[in-house]
This record gives sequence, C-alpha cells and structure tokens, in this order.
Amino acid sequence: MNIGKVSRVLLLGAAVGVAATAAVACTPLGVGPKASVDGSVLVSHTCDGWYDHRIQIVPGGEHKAGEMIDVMVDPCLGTRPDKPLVKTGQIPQAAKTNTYFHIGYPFMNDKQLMMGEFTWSGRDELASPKGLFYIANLEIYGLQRASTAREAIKVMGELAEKYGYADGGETLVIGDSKELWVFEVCGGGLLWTPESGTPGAHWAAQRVPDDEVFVGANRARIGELRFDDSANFMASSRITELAEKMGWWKKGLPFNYAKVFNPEPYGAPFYQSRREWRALSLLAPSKQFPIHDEYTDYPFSIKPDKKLSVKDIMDIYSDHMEGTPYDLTKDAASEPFGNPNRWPVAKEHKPAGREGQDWERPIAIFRCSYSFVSQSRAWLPDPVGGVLWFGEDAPDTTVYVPIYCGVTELPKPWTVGKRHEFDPESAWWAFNLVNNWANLRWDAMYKEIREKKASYEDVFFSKQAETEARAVELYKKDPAQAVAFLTHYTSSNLDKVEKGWWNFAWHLIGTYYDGGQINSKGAMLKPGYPKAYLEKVDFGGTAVRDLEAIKKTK
Amino acid sequence: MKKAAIALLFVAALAVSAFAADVPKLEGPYIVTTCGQSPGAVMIGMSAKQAGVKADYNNKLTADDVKGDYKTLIVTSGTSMKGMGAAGTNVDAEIDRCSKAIAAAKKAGMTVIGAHVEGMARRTDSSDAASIEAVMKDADVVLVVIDSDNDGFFTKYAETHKKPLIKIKDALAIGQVLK
Repeated sequence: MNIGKVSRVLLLGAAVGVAATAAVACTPLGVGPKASVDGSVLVSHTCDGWYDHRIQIVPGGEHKAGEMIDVMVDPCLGTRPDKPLVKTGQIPQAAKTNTYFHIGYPFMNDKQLMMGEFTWSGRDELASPKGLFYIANLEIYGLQRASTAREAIKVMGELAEKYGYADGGETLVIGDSKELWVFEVCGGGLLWTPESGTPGAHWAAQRVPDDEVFVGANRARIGELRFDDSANFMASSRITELAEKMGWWKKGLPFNYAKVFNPEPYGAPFYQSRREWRALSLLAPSKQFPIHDEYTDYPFSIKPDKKLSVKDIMDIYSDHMEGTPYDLTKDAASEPFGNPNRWPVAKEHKPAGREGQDWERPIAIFRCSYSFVSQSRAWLPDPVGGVLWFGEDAPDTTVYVPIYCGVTELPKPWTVGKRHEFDPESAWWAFNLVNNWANLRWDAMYKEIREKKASYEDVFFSKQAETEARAVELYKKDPAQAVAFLTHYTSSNLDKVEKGWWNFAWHLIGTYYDGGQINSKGAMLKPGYPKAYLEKVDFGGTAVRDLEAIKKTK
Repeated sequence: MKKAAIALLFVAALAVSAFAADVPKLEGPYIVTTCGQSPGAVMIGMSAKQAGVKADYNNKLTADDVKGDYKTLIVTSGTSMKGMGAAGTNVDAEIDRCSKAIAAAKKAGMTVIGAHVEGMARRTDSSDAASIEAVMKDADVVLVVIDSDNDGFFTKYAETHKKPLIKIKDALAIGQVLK
C-alpha cells in the first residue's frame, strides 16, 4: 500500500459518501464578450442543493480605519436551522465597499461584477481546519472590494493565503463588463496554521478567451499553469511547494492545477464529465465531443458554434439530456410519465455490483435552490449594464426575472423564506410547489409549466431594449433617476411573477389530481397510462392468472 | 514498554528535544488510521511524508490490513460526525474496527501508538470520549499535540495508566518524532 493508492481508495470512498449524502453539485457557465450575441459577458450558475435562496442587498459605503468585521461560516447555509452560522474570527474592513447582492453564493455587485460557483472538494490533505474562510466568505469580500474580475481574484486570493481557506476546493466563474475569468481555490493543507508562514490556500485563475465559453461541473478545470503569462494566468504564492513535498508534482514537469489538487473528482463515474459533455455538445455540436470519464478533461474553454444569448444558456439549464442515449425523460425510471427527476439513492439500497454508481445527472435538477444567467456590458453605465436573470428553485420550472445591479431594494417574498417548513411568505416555495406537483403527471404539467414560464420571460426579453434605453436616458440626466426606475421595474416584475406563480400553483393543484385533469368545461379527463407501460408492468396479469387457475379447477 | 514513565517531547518545527528514556524507540514503516473518521490520520501521514518517513494512512483500516512490513500502528482518536456520515459509519463501528486492528497489530508484535492530534475541537462530546478511551487503553504509547492536552487530560491519563506520553507542539511536528 502506498500513500497515493490508499489516498485514492479513501477519496473514492468519501466521494461515494458525498454523492449519497450531500447535494453539492452546480453547473456554472461563462461566455466571453465575443462569444455572446450582443457583446455581453455572461456568467451563470445553478445552485444545486439546500443553500440560502434569499437575496439580500448589502449596501456599500465608506468605513472608518480600524473597523473590524465578523467572519461567519458557512454563509451559504443561511436557511438551515441545523447548521447555525458560526463566527470564526474577524478581519479588518476595507476603507470602501461596493453594494453587493448576498445569497447562498453571493453573485453580483453594483459594478457589474458577477460570480458563479461549483464545488470540487479536492484532496483530503488540502483541508485547512485552521483557516478562516469558506468560499462564500471570499465571494463577499471579492464583490465588496473589487470592480473587476482581476481585482476580485487578487482580493480573494490574498485573503485566503493570509487567513487560510477552510472550505473544500471550489471554482468561481467571474465576469466583469469586459473579461471572463475562472478562479479555483483549495486549502493550505491539514497542517497549515496561521503561524506556519506558509500560504493558507492554493489558488489559480485563468482568463477565458473573449470568443470562447467555459463550463464546469464539480471537478477542477484549470490545467497547466503558465506562470510566465500574467495576462491570462494568476496563481497563489509558493503554489508548487506543498505539492512537491507531498510527491504530487515533480520539479521540471508542467504544473497542472486540476491534476495536482483534484486528481480524484468526487461523485459516481460521469457525475461531473457528463454535464460538461452535455453542455459543450449543446454549445458546439459540430465538435462532436467524445464521452470522457472523470479523469479525462474536456478543453478548458471552446468556441461555440454560434454566438450565445441569455436564452441559450437558460435552455441549457433546462436540459435533461433529451435526444441522447442518457435521456432522463425516456428511460425506464422515467416511466410512466417521462419524469426526469431522480431522488437520491441510499448507499445500502444500491444493487449488488452497482454500489459505486448513481443515476445519470442532468444539468436541470429538482434540488436546485436557485439559478441565474447574468449579463455585464461595458457600453452601458453600471446600474443598467449589469443584469442578472434570476430564478428560484429548479431551472427547468422556474421563471427568470431580470434584476439590475443598480437596484436598491427587492420585494420581500424574494428576500425571506424558511426552508425547513412550508413558508407561504417566500416566493421560493411557489416554484418548489410547482416543481414538486409536476411529479404527479410530468408529461402533462411540464408542457404547461414551460408555456407559462415562457409567457413571462418572453415579455421580459421583448421589453429589455426599451427598458434599458429609457434607463440610460434617465442616467444621463441623473443616475439616481435611473436607479429608481430600474428598482421599480425589477420589483414590479418580481411581484408579478411571485403572485402569478402562486396562482399558477393553485391552478395546477386544481387541475391535476387523482390521476385526472380538469378540462376547460369542468370535466375530469382520465389520461391514464401509456399502453406500452401497461404491457411492461403486466397490467391485469394477476387477475388473468387467477382466472386461468380457477378455470382449471372447474 | 508500559513502565511508569511520562516522557515529554517538545518538538519545534525543525528541532527535536526529547526526554524519552522510557519511550520505546519508534520505528517505521507506520500504518495510520482514525477512530472516528476525523482528518487526524491524514495529518500524521502528511507530516510523516514531509519528514521523509514512510507512513501509509487508511481511514478504513481493518485487522486484515495490518500486515506486511509495518512496525508501528498509529490510531488517531477524536471523531468527526461529518466524516463518519460520509463514510457510512458510526462511533461504535469505528471502535470495533480499530480495536480489532489494534489486537492484530499486537499479535504481530507491532507497537501501537494512540494519538490525539487535532486539539480540543475533537474532545467535545461523548463520541470523542469513547473514541479516546477505546484507542488509548490498548496503546503502548500516547502521542498528543499540546492543544489536545490543554486541560492536562492526557498527562493525567498517561500517569494513571503508566503509559509513555509524547507531547508535541503541533501536527506539523509529528513527522520529526516518527523519524
């Protein structure tokens, strides 16, 4: 037994455990300005697990010298009563901070800076129990203290090195109005202490070419670091030191960040690579990407076949691998109504020989807390140029509402909400209710949900140019007027969608129940089951056999 | 080996000073496991590796794995609920697994070190206490970091049970002791 081998066994065991018990699994994308239809830098994120879905606008400001701020971990768990936030320390406040939008994984500031996130955990040896920050802490400080992606990377990297990074390995997709970057970070190591004199984190960042698109899904994505290319790469100090000591890397060889720090991606086979493959295949079908396992990388970024819109990314976020051999709406487990949702499988229930396997993992997943697609646009003033299309709960059944980065308040139902009990005060529950109710009769309800979703989003898209032109006009006269206008516009849309989605939920409940569907005349239709399914489940079989048996006795 | 001897090794990052007349000479190769799925075993493995000492770590070590060239078994104590949850185990199963591994090591003539290297954070509840007791009672040597013995618990334990005690500054210094 060598350390490497044992470690691989341990990591695999831990990975299976993580996959079975946790829900850390997000699929962010980033689109460079020359790869989008209008020159926007796009950032997106699906926050796939029980994480804080409440949006809080945290105002920026100027701060007195000597002011200290509490570091609370883990901010992303804000709605979980069983995991109260704990103060782990204090750090000095910055002299000036931006306004930022707080949520499970803080995602936007008033300078058009956006962040999407995913977890990859990394080697067991890299955890830093003495570290101060989790990834959401770093996001907060990055958004508060930086106006560009490069600045944010520098802020987060320096803080993580100085105070220590206690979280598992994480990736952030960071976009400003001109550039798109990918930032990856893991701890300084189990033996790290603030007094050790070594960096408390290992981080690297790579710029995505302007005409390319990035996708990541629960495995580190930055490959070989080019230390001499500061225009496109950044990295923590002494990044090779621990890796060399531990035998993970040898001097003279290329330093591949992902292979050094995340050689054993967590989750069942294909848990990560399948989503990368699917997103890349939708973005550039002409490239005919091969199927790779978790140990083989897809390119860091690619040129899409066509320039991408916000809507294109939203469509990718609704994907269940339709039309592929992995189509979750067509396999046996989807029957009888083509339902792509698959509940978690406990380790002890997995069939013999399949202990290490799991359901196929689509991009759209029921357990998503929220998702977004953001735009950052250099040609517009910040309050107008930064807009984040936000949707609560699962991306395939949500409604994306544009939230401008200059807004100063949001309607209460989008800022509150318990998750451990039904909370009618929270917009999140309207979306969760619709998604869950759809499980009763996915084939019928999903179609209706998609139509309803589009009825809102189509209006928002159609009004976007006109709304922003008006906001820019106001901004030229008085920026405060533009902010007030956008705040009103954003809030009225959020209000409309929240009330509309509750009504829609009641409509679905009143229409689809007891296996029936109420039609426009008030009659209940009985759509029943697909014939092929009835044959497959031996419909009527017990009765036929009993009748035959009785007949023989007569 | 089990004479009434309390030896304190204060190990600085690079320098080792020892009062170890009654501490048996520690010999590798080492095999390390955790009784409670906390990171302690991996910490020892890392520290050993960085000191150039051969120490394999296996968080799921069984009695059957205690074979080969290993001269010493190190079992870290203190539990992680998160770690045990992820590994699909619990403190009773962990104690059972480690007790069997310790028995196998003793049968093979190996030295057994009971360790606690993660400070007071791994001495908070009854699971931690059960893990510590299960590991230390059969250990030939007790190895702890100063932070784990802030209240003198391990010093008193070693005195009471007449076990040699190695007490070091922090986990980073473990590798030097194992040299």
